[in-house]
Amino acid sequence: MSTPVLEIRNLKTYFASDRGEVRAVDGVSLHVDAGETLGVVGESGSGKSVTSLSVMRLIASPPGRYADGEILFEGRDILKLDKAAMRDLRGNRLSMIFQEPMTSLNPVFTVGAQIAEAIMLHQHLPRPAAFARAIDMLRLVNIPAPERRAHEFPHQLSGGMRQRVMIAMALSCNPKLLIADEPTTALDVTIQAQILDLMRRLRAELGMAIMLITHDLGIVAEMCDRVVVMYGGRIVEEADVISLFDNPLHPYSEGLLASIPRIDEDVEQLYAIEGSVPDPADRSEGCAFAPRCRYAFERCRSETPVLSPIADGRKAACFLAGERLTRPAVEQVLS
Amino acid sequence: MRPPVLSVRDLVKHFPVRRQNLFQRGRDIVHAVDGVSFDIGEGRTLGLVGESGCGKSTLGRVIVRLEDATSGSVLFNGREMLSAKGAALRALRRDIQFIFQDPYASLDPRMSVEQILAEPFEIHGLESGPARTAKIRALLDAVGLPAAHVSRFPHEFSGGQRQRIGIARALALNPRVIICDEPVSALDVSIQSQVLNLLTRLQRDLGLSYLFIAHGLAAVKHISHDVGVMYLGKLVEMAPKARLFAVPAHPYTQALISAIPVPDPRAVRNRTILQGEVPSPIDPPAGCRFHTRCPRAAEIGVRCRTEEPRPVELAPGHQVACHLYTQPKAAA
Repeated sequence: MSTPVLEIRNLKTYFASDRGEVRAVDGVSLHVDAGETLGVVGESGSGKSVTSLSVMRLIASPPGRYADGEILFEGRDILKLDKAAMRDLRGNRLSMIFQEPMTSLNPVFTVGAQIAEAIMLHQHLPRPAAFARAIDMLRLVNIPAPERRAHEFPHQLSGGMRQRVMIAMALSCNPKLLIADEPTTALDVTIQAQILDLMRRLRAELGMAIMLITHDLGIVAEMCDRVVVMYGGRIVEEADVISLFDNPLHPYSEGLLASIPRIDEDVEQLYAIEGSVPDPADRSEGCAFAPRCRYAFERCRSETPVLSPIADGRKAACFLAGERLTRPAVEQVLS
Repeated sequence: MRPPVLSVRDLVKHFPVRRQNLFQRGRDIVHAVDGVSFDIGEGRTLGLVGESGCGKSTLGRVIVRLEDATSGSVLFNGREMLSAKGAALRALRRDIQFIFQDPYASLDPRMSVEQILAEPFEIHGLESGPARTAKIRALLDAVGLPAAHVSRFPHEFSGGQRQRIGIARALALNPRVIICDEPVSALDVSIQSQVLNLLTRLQRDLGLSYLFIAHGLAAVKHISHDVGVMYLGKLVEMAPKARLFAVPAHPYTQALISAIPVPDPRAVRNRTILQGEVPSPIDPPAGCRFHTRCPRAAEIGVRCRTEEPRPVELAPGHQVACHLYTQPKAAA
């Protein structure tokens, strides 16, 4: 078995607020193996973005703080690194792309200069060589006329083009791990298809691992090897992508999968999870999903289920997960 | 067949913009909506899809007169919307309502739910006193919000609940048609299906007609009876839902459908990835507006670049504007 590139152990990231401490991430453990794509799925307030920002050490403190846990990147605990060592890592072996490419690029520098900056800093190349490498990176992400585009400013580029620039910048120092936080959510569907295609190609060419944060289960099905599902600041299920879609063990994963309108199926009424996403400031006892869960019983409301191994490579935080694993699935009956 | 409730003919909306060039004076024209026609029958939903900048939202806003049309006609039960004035316009506005995309921006944060829902009655001088209060409670009930929440303010609600308030406001005056502009795009996945189910139920109970504007094809497919596809201000294809998704005729529709990620890890993907991006609506391409990105344009040849394709009827209710389906003009 390969050693993980990233291993998060019991991470707790809390924020001070006027309503008390908000436990945005509340005991998350996960790992990303070399070369694999891990999907992190969840809705607003699930803690998926705070988890990824924690790995980059981009949580502003105050109000945020890392209350507990370890984040091991290539064996070293990131949370113990000083600022200089972290700066050395960030944008180098560990990179991130964000949802909104316009606010993530600096409007007063050309895109070529912004990509070259990271190359100069991390690879100690002189400016002309770094700029030449920046142009190579723009070519790698399929930007037409890269020599000309490198001299343009972010506002001169379209949304899809800006996201390509972000990817070029993130990959310019050959990262071992790329964190992509909703990389296509702001883009149109035909541009999204271009960017996903590009990410798939670059992953194969460069052999990096990807942690892909998304709410779109279609993207998960297309891009990911394994998936963790987050709800209320915790991981409620971890599985390989096929097992998750075939037989989701956690009722929330099941509801999420059932509620997407399918383009290839017709139904009169959509499955809907009743109620609303929990407020991260309110983390009361019991399973966070219990108020919306149709299988919930007494124990779910008084005791918080922990994420535990259910089967090979599968974990779930649900008292019913064991039973649910062995229930007859349609696919199993058919095959 | 019964006449349509809403009938849009050759609708055009151009926005003048100042030219972006220091050395040339004058104005450019953004061709946001450029000759769109369709009908919506009673109790039916027309879904309208397309990418950003295709004009779908402008189209919705022109129909309810939030923007003034450049030319064309919008008939509601045979009455012209676009030239209506004064009392006639106010009456028409009761019948055609609007649900906005952003439930955070479309509700006044300083008004309670009761005030928000009382406003339509206020403006139109309808109902008062206990009758109005009863109406407001009935509206909340219809959209699945507890009547006890009537004195709360928008910030006390989640996104899905706010969208329910927006829907209740649209329903207040018993409209016949509701224009829904991306009503679920801003909501979480598990909340989207709640709101879509609510819209479906209201349509069934009240016989409403919807124009459902969205960029997410899955939601449009779920809720619509007919679907229209827009590209750069033009309707390039329109068909009954089942037909559009089973046998899409326009190369743009085909690419759009194939671009949607399918939530099935075993699915075999046979994707047409469009190259390039949507051109600027200021100076749309000549001929067919899609020809710069069309994977089929090369085989059809010069007509795509020079001649605008006229809509052709492939089957009842299935229209497509593409030279794959038109005959070259006979040589004069």
